Amino acid sequence: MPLEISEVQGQSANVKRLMIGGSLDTETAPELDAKISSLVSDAIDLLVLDMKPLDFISSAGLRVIFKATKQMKAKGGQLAVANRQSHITKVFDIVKALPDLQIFRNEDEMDDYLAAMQDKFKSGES
Amino acid sequence: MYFKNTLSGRLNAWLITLVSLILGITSGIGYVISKDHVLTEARLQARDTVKESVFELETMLHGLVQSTNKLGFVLGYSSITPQKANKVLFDLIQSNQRLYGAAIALEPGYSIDSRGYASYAFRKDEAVKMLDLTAGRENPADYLSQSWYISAKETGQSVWSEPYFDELGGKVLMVTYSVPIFQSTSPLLYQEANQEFIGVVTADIELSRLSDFMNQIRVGESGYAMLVSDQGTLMSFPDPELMLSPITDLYPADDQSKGTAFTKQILGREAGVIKTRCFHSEEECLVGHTELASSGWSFVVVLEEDEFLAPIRDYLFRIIGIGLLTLALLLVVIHVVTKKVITPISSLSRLVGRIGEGDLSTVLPKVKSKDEVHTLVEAVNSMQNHLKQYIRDLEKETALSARLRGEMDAATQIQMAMLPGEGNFEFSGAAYEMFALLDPAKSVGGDLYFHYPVDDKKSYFVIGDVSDKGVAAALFMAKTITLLNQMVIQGKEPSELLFELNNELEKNNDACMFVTLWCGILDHESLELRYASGGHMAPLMCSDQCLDSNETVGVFEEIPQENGMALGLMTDADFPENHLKLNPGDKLFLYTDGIDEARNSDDQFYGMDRLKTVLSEGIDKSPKSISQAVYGSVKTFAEGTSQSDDITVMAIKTSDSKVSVIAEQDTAQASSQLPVACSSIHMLFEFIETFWKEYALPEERLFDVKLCSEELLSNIVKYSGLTESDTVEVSLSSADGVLIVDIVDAGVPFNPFEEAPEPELGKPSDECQIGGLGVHLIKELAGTLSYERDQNSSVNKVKLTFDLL
Repeated sequence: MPLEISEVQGQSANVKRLMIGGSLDTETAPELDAKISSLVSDAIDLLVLDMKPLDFISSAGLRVIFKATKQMKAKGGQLAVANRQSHITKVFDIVKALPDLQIFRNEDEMDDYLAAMQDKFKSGES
Repeated sequence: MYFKNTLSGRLNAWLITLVSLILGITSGIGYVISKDHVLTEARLQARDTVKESVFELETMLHGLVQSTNKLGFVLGYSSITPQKANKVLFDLIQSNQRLYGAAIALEPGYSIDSRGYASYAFRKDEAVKMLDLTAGRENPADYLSQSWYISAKETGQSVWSEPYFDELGGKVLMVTYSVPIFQSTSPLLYQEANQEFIGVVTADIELSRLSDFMNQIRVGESGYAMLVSDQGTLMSFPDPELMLSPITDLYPADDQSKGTAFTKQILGREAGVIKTRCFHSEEECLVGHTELASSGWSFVVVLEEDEFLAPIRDYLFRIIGIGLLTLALLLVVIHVVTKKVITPISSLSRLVGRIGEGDLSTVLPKVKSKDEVHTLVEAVNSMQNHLKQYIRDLEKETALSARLRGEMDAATQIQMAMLPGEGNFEFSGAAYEMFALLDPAKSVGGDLYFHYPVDDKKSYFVIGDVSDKGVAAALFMAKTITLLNQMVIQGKEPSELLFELNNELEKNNDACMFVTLWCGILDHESLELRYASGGHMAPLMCSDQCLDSNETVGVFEEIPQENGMALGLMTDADFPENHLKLNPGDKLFLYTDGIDEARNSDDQFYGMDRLKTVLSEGIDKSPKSISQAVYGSVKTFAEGTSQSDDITVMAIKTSDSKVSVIAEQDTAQASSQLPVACSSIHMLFEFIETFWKEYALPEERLFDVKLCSEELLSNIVKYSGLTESDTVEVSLSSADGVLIVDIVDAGVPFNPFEEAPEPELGKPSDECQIGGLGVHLIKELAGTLSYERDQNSSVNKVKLTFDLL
């Protein structure tokens, strides 16, 4: 099963949102790795991985997400995952959610956080 | 608007303008030339009018002058007695109506009476009266001081006086001609010397007589005459108030310079015409003057210039009138003539316009005249007929063309119907999937492809290209396809098939047409490809499979092939057999030279390099996608040029894995051989999902099984030391609500459950060790897990079980 990554247009320049769909396995993980590496920059305060259409994740995928969290943290930003399907959440839980990883359980949580982020951006805080 | 933008309008405009111009110019010239003439005429006329009067006056004056002169002369040679003198005077007056008076005055020394002698005869009341000028005065010799006496005495010449009022004698306004009397001291006649002045004889003319005479002279309507003395005194004037005034008085007091100049000219001896302001009005007047020879007086005629010029003006109006009339007539004539000439042209132009619009049925009128218009009409008629004929011919041809096209379309349909899928063919089977596409350059072409799945054990694939294009190639292609259809039924091997096919095609092939043909049989089980080629290029095959995000993928190369010659040329030609063992997932690409020999607008070939690049870039595309990609690429490349050759492609992909499913009552079992590579993961998923669907296993466990299998496979790829040419066997069996996953690999001894490091969980990400996560997941998700190393066969065996209930 292939991996589908698409950028979602957001309202803030400091927030990037990726929609991840399909299967994030050993075969497809490198694609996500490359994509995230290209996006991480000082300008981004928050990178959100919207996993609503994601059906499968294995340890390879988790590794990419851990790496991404580290990358964002190094640039003074944060990584977030959102809208995970139940079996995906199960996998995250087994390996125990990383303290640095921001988790949005649903759309509303994410929207609230994003709104807060936007205000922060507008008011000039970093 | 009259002068609209038509031929007649323009013609009219031009003609009228030019004619008006010419008329104007000629009239103008005529006027200018004639003006002088008319003026001269007028002047002459005026002169003529006064000529008589002048003549008359002059005659009279001359007569008077002559008579008086004669009298004076005679008196000088005779002794003058008072009686004689009186008688002479009396007779003179009586016989000369024109004379008012006459006088003889002698010097006292020469008169009888020492007091002097002056006798005067004058007319009064129709009778002649005699007057002694010496009588009844204080000084009888008064006469001696009168100007009329003195002037003659002092000058010794005959002289006219200025007009004056005669107190002494007649007591009227008069003018006097005085003649001195000379007596010769010598007895000889005609001797100039020794002439002695003895007296004066005079003749008077009443001024009123002169002025009456002058005043009745009419010149034209307004003209009048006046008489001016040689001193510049008005002797007659229509306005009696100005009588005896100097002529300078005719001019206003503030304009005396003019008056002086005027006077000078009048008194000059030359006759002339002066233009000046009229004396009686504000108009301009012409003043003509001439000197009367006998008296030195000036005969002056005053005429209003307007009146004088009246003839000219009349003439001018007459000319203008004639001119306008002529113009009007010409306008009418021009209009009529142009209309007559232009009407046929304008109606012709209208009709031709209609023809131009497309109405070829328009009929042009017959033109009687044998001129250019006639020629034009004839020409247009001829053109019309030719056009009609041409259109008829064109329609016929178009109909013919349409019919031919219809026939060609039918032929195309028939030909394409001979091909599987009619030029667009998709096939998917257990052992392979394929796609074929054919695009003929013209409606019908010479390329062909063929596919025949004999049974579930083998299939035929054929691709070919007939020499040339068009109907001939199409018919040859039809023949080839028909024969192919027959031969594959016989189940012949490619080599033999081509041999027989070649012989058949060679028969009756006088046109020496030929076809390049490639024929192959694929064995479904062994994936062995047996093939033979009659002059056709070897298919391209992809040898590499690894999908790594950094490397370029897949290299397509020609498969090794020994060729025979093209079919149809030589009987009993040989077609060598070729073999090739394919692997699951291998991709074959067959094509005709319409691909690599396609040209772009710069005359460059598409070429093999481009083809291989497109194929490589589409490595993970389906046969259909890759065929369409190549086709699209060629079309884009050749954009702007017309397709020069038929384009045919065929893509074949052998199925990735062999799945054999053994159906049993309560147990389900399947196994799959997968290459040791990351790219096998999606094949693994397919395998598991197919199994899951096949046996309708519970959805909830599918994810766990997939995840654990994936982790194990990844481990093997990473740590087993095996390469993608090696395989790992994955088996699934489901029995009694338990699913067992067996994974067997021939790699280095490796127990994933022990040798993978424990992950540290719950720590901040930068401290967390990445290794062993997968194994941890397996341990959490699977029911049981076991590892065994089979020393005999040197394989690792990993077994996982999952509860399905």
